[in-house]
Amino acid sequence: MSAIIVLFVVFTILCLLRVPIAVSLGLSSIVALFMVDFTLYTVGLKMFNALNSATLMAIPGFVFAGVIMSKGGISFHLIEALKSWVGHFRGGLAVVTILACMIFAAISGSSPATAAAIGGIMIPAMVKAGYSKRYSMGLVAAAGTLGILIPPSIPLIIYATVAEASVGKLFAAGIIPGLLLTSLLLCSAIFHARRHNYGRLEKVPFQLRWKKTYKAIWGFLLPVFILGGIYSGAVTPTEAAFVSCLYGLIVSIFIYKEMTFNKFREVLKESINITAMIFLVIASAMVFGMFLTTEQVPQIFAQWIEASAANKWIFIIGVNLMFFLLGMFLEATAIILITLPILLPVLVLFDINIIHFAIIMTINMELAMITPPVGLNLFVVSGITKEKIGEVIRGVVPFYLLMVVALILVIIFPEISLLLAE
Amino acid sequence: MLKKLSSLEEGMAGLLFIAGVFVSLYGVFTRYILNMPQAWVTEIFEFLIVWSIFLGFGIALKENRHISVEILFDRLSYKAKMIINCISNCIGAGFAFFLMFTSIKLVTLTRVQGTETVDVGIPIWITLLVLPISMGLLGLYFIRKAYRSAKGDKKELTGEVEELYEEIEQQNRENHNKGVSL
Amino acid sequence: DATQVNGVQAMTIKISHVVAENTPKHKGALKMKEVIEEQSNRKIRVEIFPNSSLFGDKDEYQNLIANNVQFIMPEMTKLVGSEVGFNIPGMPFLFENDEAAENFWDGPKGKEVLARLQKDKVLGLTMWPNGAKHVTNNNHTISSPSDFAGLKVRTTGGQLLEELYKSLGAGSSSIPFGELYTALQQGTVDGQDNPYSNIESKKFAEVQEYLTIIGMNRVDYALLTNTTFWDGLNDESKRIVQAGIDAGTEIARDSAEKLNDEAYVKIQNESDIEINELTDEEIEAFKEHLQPVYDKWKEIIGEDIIEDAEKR
Ligand code: NA
Ligand code: NA
Repeated sequence: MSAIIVLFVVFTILCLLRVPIAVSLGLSSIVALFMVDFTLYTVGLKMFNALNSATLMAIPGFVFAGVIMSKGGISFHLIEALKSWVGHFRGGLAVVTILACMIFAAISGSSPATAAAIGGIMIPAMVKAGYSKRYSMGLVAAAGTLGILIPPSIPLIIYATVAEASVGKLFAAGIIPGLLLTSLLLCSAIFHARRHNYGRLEKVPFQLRWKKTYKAIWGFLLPVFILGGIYSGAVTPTEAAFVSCLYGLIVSIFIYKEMTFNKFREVLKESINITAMIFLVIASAMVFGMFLTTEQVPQIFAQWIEASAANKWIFIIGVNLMFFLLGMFLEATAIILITLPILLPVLVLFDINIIHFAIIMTINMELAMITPPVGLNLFVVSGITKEKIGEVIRGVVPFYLLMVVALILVIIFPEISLLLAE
Repeated sequence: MLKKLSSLEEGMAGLLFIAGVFVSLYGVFTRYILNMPQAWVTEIFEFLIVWSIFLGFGIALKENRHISVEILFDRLSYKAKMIINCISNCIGAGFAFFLMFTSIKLVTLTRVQGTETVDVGIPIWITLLVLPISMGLLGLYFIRKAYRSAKGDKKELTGEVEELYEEIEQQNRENHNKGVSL
Repeated sequence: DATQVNGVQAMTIKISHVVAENTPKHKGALKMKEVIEEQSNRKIRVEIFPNSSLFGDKDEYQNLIANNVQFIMPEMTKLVGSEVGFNIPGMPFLFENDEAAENFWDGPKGKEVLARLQKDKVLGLTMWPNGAKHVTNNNHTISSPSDFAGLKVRTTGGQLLEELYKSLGAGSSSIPFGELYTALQQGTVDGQDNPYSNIESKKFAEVQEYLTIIGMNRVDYALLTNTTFWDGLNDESKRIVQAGIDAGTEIARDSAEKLNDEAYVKIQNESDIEINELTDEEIEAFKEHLQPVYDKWKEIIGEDIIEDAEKR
C-alpha cells in the first residue's frame, strides 16, 4: 500500500517540477516497482513492446497523413471548398469538424489517431475562421473519441471476448448512442457558434463553390478512399493509414505541386515529433499500469464497489466513478481487461444487460481519453497545436459535460442501446 | 559532437520511418494486388516504425515537444525557473540513463539466450538495441537542457507559446523600425 | 493441520497468462491457486493475472526469467525463437488427439524438449492443451490441398506454419488476434485456423461461411517456471507447489477437451456456418502433399523426437 502512496506523491511532485508527464509517469512507476522488489531491467522491454503493436501503428500513419494533408495543399483546398458551402452559416466549420471526426474515427477505430488526422487540418482552419483556439481544440479532442462508440470498435470487440457476447450485437448497440452523442455535439457546436458570432463568412456564388469543390476533389476522395479500402477488405485500418500517406504524397506532389524535398523532410520530422510525444506517454502509461496491476489496485477498487453497493443504481454510480478514476491514468483496453471480469458476476447479480453495460463502459472509455492527467486525445491535440495541455483541458470541459449528459441518457434509457441490438 | 550525433539521429529516424511506410505499402500490394500475402511484413513494419519513434523521443525533446504541467512553473520568478528547470532536466536525464543501463543488461541477456523473433527470426537483442541507444541520446539532450537552463538560456525557461509571441513581437518591432505598417 | 505447514515458506506466487477467464488455462491456474493456498494454510498466496493484464505475449518470458512472475503458460509457437522443438504443435497431422499430444509431452522426449529452456534459467514443467486447429474461410468448402490455392489465411505466425501454407498455395499473414474478427468480416484475409473454443468465443462463425474439420496442427501451451523461484523453495513448499501444478494440469487438460466439445455444439447450433469434416482419404492427400515440409522440419526439430511423437 505504501508503494501506491509513494507512486502518487512522486508523480505529483515530478509533474509540478515541470518534468515531462511521460517521464513523471515512467519514473514514479519505476520507484514504486522498486519498492515492491520488481526486477527492473524488464521495464524497457515493457515500453518497447507496448509500442510494438499493430493497432497502435495506425497513429504514426494517420499523423503522417494529417501532416502531409495540412502542408501539401490538400487540407487547404478541402477547407476552402467546405467553407464555400457552409462557411456563411453560423457554426458551419464546427459541424464539418464533428462530421469529419465521426467518419474518420469510425474508420480507424482509434480515437487518438482520429484526433490527429482531423485536428491537424480542422483546428488551424477553425482558428483562421475566427473560432477561439481553446474551443476548436476541445471540440476535436471530444469529437475524436466518437470512434470507439460508432462501429467498428476495438474496445467493443475486446468486451465481446471477455463477456462472451456477440460482436455483431455490440456493434449494433453502439450505433444509436453514437448518433445521439454526435447530434448532441452538433447542437452544442451550432448553439455555441451562434452565441459567439463565430466564423460567418461571406456567401460564395454557386459557380465558385463548384469550382472550389472540383479543385478539392482529391481531398474529399480521401475519406471515401480509406472507407472503401477498409470495407472492401483491401487493407487493415493501420495499412489504410499508410496508404493514405502515399495517396496524400502523390496528390500534393503531382497535382497541387506543393511538396518539395525540403518540405517533405519537414513533414517527416513533424510527424516523428508528434508520434514520439504520444508514444512516450503511452509507453510510460503501460509501465504505470503494470505497477497498478501487480499491486492489484483495479481489483481492490472493483471488489470494494461490489461489497459496498446496496442496489443496482448505487452500483452503476460506483462503477462510473471507478471508471472515472481509472480513466484518469489508464487506457481503454487496459481498463476493460482488468475490470470487466470482476464486474461481470455483479452484472448478473443486479440483472444488468451486458450489451447495455458495454455501451455504458464504452462511453466511459471515451471520457477517459479526455480525462487528465493521462488523456491520449488531450496529448494528441496539444501535440498538434503546440498549445499547453491546460488550454486543451479548458477547451474540452464543456464537451466533457455534454458527453456526461449522453452517458446519463444511455444509462437511464437502455432502449437507446438495445433497440438495434435485439 | 552532439550536433553531428543529433543530425545522424534525425536522418536515421526519418529513413526508418520511410522504410516502415514502404514495407506497409508492400504488404498491401502483395496481399491485395498479387493475392500473395507475405508473413514477414507485419513484424518488419512494426520494428521499423518503433525504432524510428524511439529515436524520435530525443528529437521531440530537443524541440520541447514533450508535454509537461506548467501550472506551478508559470508562477515562478526567473531565478526559481532556472533552478527548477535545471533540476527537472537532471531528473529526466536520470530516467533516461536508468533505462539505458537496464536495457544494456536486457540486451546482453537476450543475446546470451539467442532468442529470435517468431516470423522472421531476427535475434531479439538486435531489435532491442534501439532501447539503450535512444535512451542514451535522450539522456544527453536532457543534460544539455539542464546545462543551458543553468546558464540562463531563455529558450529553456519559456514555454513554446510564449516564445512564439516574443518572436511575433520582435518581428513587429523590426517592422516598426523599418517604417512598415501592418 | 498447522504442524504440517510449519516448514512452508510465506510468499506470494504470481501466475500470468494472456487469455480470457473462460479458458482451460485459467481454470487450471485457478485450481493451482486453490490447492497451493489450501495445502499451505494460506502461507503461500497465489495471484492470477489473466488477459495479458500483467505481461503480454512479448514480455512474459523475460519477466519469468527476471522472477517478476513465477508461472506463465505461453503458446508453444511463441517459444520457437528460444527452442526449435516448440514447433511440434505446428507439425501437420502429428498427433491423433489431445491424449497423444499429452502422452508425448509427458514422455522422455517431450521432457527433453521442455528441459532445453534451462539455458535461460527457465523450467519447462508440462504441457497444457488447447486442441487441434480447424480452418474457417469465406470462399469455398475445403476438401483437397488444391482448395487452399490463393486463399489468404491468418495464422499465429512462425516459419513452419508459413511454409505449410505456402506449400498449399495459400498466403499467410499474422494479423493480431484482436483485429482478426474485423479482418475476417471485411475480407482483409479469407480465413483463419484455430481450435473450436477460440472460433466460438471470438465469434468467428458470425463472419465466416465455411468450417473445415481438418486438425492439421495444434495449439498447445507450455507451463513454465523459473529456476530462481524453484530452487529457492524448500522441500515442504516444493511439495505443495508441485501438488498445485499436478492438480492444475489435470483440470486444464480435462476442461480443454470439454470446452472444445461444447464450443463445437454451439457453433453447430447457433450459427449458419457450413461445416464439413475431412475423410481419412482426404486427410491422407493433405499428408502426402505436406510431406516435404514435414520431412524438412522433422530434421530441424530432431528425428528421434518426432519419431517418438509419431508413436503416441
Ligand atoms: Na469506430
Ligand atoms: Na485519462
